[in-house]
Amino acid sequence: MTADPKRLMEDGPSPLADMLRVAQDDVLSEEGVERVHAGLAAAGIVVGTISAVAAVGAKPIATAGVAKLFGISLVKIGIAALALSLLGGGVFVALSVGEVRAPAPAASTTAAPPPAAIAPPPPPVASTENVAITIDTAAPSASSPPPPRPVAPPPSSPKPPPAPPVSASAASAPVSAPPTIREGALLLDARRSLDSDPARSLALVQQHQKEFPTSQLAPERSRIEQEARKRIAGR
Amino acid sequence: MTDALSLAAATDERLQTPGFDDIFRAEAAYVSRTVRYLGVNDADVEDATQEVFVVVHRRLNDFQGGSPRAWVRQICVLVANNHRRSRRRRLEDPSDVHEAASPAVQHDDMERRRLRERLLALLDELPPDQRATFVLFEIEQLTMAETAEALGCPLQTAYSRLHAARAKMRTSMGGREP
Repeated sequence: MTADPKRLMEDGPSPLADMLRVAQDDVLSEEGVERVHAGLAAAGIVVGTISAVAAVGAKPIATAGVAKLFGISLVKIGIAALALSLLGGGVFVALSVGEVRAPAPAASTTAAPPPAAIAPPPPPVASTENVAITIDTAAPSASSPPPPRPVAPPPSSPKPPPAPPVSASAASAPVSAPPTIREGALLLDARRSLDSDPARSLALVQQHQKEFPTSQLAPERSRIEQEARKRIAGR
Repeated sequence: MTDALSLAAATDERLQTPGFDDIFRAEAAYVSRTVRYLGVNDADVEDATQEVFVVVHRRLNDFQGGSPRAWVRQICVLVANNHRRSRRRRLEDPSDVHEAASPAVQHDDMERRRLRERLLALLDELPPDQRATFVLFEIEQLTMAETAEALGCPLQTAYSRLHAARAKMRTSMGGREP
C-alpha cells in the first residue's frame, strides 16, 4: 500500500501552508451550528442534543441554548417538529428531552480501513446530471437559490406592512421543498414574538408567506398567524 | 457456531454504526468548512450545511460502514456541486458575511481574511475534481483512502488529482513552492 503523501501544512513554512492553517480554523461558529440545528428542527429532523457540536475552541452548546435562542422550550420545538412532520410529510427522528450525552470524540484524522461496503458511490464529479438527480430529492432546487441571509429584521412599526405580490421566484418554488434555515428562523422568530409583539409576529408570517408560499411549514405559519391576529384583536 | 459468529459480527457492526445525532455532533462545525472550500459561497454555507445533514438523515440507512467522515464528505461534494452550478461565488463582495471585528483583533482578522480569500481564489482555478481532492486531503485531513472513497474514484486517481492540483496551485502562485 502506498503511504499518504506529506500534507503541505506539515511540509515546512510556506504561503500555502499559512493559508491552509487559516482554513483549518474556518469552522462554523457556535451560533451558526445553532441556526443549522434550528433549521433541521424546522424540517422535522430533531437532534437529541448538540452539546458536543461545539466548534473548535467554542464553548459547548446545549439544546437548551437553542431553545433559549428562540425563546421556546425544547418540548415545544419537539412537538412542533412532530406536528410538522405529520402535517408536512417530514421525518421526525427523535425527541430527547433533558438528555445529556457524553461528548463525541473530535473528528479523527486517523486512517480508516478501506470501506468494505458503503453507500453507492457518487458518479464522477463531471457527471453533473446524476448528481442533480441525487440531490434534488433532498435539497432545495438548484433553480431556486436560497433566499438572502441574514434574516431581515421586521419593521419596528406595530402596523404590519401590506403583503407585496408574490415574486416570480417564489411562485415557481417547488411544492414541498425542504424548509430552509431562513424560513425556519422566520417562523421561530414569529412564534417567539407572539407574547411580546404579536404585530411583529404577523409581519414575520406575512414575510414567510411572501417568500415561501408553498412551504411545508404553511400549517405552522397559519397557526401562528391566527394566534397573532387573535392577540392583536385582544389588545 | 457460524451463525452465532455472524450474528455477533452483525450486532457489533450495528453498534458501531453512528446515528444521526453522533454524526451531527461530530461533523456539524466542520461540514461548513468543507462546503465552503469546495466552492459554496459564504452566504450559502449554512444552507448548504443544512442540506448536507438533510441528505445524511435521509440516506443514513444506506450507510453500511467505512468512514463516516468520508461518507459525509461524499455528500458534501454532491451538495457543493449542486450549489456551484446554481450560483457562482462572489469573490470580492464586501457584504459577504464578514462580521465587524473589534479594533483589537481587526488586523489579525484582516490578515486571516486575506489568506482565506487568496486560498479560495486559488481553489477556484482548479477543476472540480482536483479541487475536491485537494480540499479533502489538505484541509479536511482525510487520508488518501478516505478521499478516494468520498469521491468515488480509485485510489490512484485520487493521487493523480492531488498531484495535479498541487502543481496548478504552484503555478498560480508564480512558481513558488506551495
